[in-house]
Amino acid sequence: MRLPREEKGLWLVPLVAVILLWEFSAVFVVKDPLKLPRFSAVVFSIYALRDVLIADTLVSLLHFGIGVGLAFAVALPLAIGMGWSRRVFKAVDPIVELLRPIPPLAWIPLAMIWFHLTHYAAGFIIFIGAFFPILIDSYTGFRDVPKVLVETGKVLGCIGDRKQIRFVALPYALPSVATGTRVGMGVGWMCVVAAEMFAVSDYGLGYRLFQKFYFLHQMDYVVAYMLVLGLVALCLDRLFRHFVEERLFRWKKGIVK
Amino acid sequence: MNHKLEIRGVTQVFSSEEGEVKALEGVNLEVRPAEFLCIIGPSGCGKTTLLRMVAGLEQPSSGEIILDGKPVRGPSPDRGMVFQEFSLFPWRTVLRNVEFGLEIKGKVEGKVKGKGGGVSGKKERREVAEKYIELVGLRGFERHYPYELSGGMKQRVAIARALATEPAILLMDEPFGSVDAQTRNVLQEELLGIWQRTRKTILFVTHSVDEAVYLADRVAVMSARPGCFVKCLEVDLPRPRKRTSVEANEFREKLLMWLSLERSKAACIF
Ligand SMILES: Nc1ncnc2c1ncn2[C@@H]1O[C@H](COP(=O)(O)OP(=O)(O)OP(=O)(O)O)[C@@H](O)[C@H]1O
Ligand SMILES: [Mg+2]
Repeated sequence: MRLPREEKGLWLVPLVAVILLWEFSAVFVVKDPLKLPRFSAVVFSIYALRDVLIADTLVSLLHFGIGVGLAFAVALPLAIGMGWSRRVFKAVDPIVELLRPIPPLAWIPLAMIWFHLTHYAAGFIIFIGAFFPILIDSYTGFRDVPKVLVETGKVLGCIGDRKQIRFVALPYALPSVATGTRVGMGVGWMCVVAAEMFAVSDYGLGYRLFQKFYFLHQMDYVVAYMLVLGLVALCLDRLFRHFVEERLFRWKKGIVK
Repeated sequence: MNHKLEIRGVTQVFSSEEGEVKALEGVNLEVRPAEFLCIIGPSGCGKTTLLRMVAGLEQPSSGEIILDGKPVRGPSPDRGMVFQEFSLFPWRTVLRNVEFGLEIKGKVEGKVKGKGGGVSGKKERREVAEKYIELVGLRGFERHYPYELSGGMKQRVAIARALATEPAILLMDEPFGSVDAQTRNVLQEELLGIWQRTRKTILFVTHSVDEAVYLADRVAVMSARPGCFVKCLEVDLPRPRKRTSVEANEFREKLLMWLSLERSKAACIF
């Protein structure tokens, strides 16, 4: 995204305003660091916690990687099947629509029973969160491949489903797959705290936030970790957009923008 | 029997929930090698349907389509097709669009021979594609994406792409239907040039009398749905043709007469 020059620093203004407002209300209005820790205290906490914070972030990223990676690996083939074949769609869709509304948090008991207190238990909750957005967006992409493109493929020698999927449907649907993955990553990250709440490991942003800081009512630390949760997600999203969306889908520009 | 393509008693019935639609009934047609044959008829008479069956994208309800002595069973790269609507792969550049058929062919041959040869090599593929891009006058646009092209340019790419696999016959479904009159004239001239250089058999669908008279060796006139051919006219005008010559005008009148006749439901003559 390239912004015009005068818009470049625009985001800074409201950000600084919000920070000032926060600091001001914490010091002069709320006057209770338990209810609202000061921004400066939170920033200092991030610095003070840096060692454990890095370890926690890495472990959370591990859980995230397991969950989103598996979600992608399972959702993509299923999406190809559902999007490409009406019969597969008809057969599988009711199950998908039944499971989809179940909140990831409701899966926690099962995750505990199935995977005990392991990284996989956390990964599983994140998997549930990330799976459905990836699946839904992806199969929509495969379903909406224009008929004329498939037929063009056929006339040029793409005979059989495998070739048509590989050379026509997949490239056409990739932007939808990417969008779904991006949304899925977002939802998956939101599940990280819940997934780690139950002490699946001795590290993890969610684990520390709930089991340590909140337990001891160290609210400046809690808010510091909240900020880190937001920042990591922001970075992940930016990286994804930079490396996947902007590079791979130059051709989409004419259609979207 | 030196027909390139034979259509014998082809009928096509579409059945939907609202009932059956008979698009074509008892269509017969013979196309000679290297001939430029135009099919003309009113909208909805089944021109696209007929072309799709020749391409192998649809099976006729009854009747037979025979290409080079062999019945058509399904789509194959030996019949190039240019669709009525825009059909470029939006994720591929012009060059990669034109290469598409060769790429697939390379994959198939590579599997059979175990090793790439002929057009399956990347370099050869590029050369062939560039040759056809040059032929349709799009040099310099190789790296452009379809969204950066005008409608006329898109259809040129589609033509180059259809030609690149060296099909025995080229099927064109109102390829210039969505471009303006000037561009259309230019594209028609270019197509004639390509046809004369490559000596392809061309089956060209249009509903423009002018286009048919300018391009065709023969014009086959179709009736309204259910379509069938009511008349086949030899266009005995010398090439290069002048769009405004007296002879062309006379022919146009004759063609219009047949087109109006079909409205009063003349019998299908073949
Ligand atoms: N897949 C289909 N299912 C049902 N009916 C169809 C189908 N394809 C075509 N038809 C019907 O067959 C008839 C002929 O259609 P076709 O597209 O061949 O017409 P056309 O001559 O190409 O018209 P145009 O000049 O407008 O392109 C139409 O009445 C159409 O409604
Ligand atoms: Mg048509």
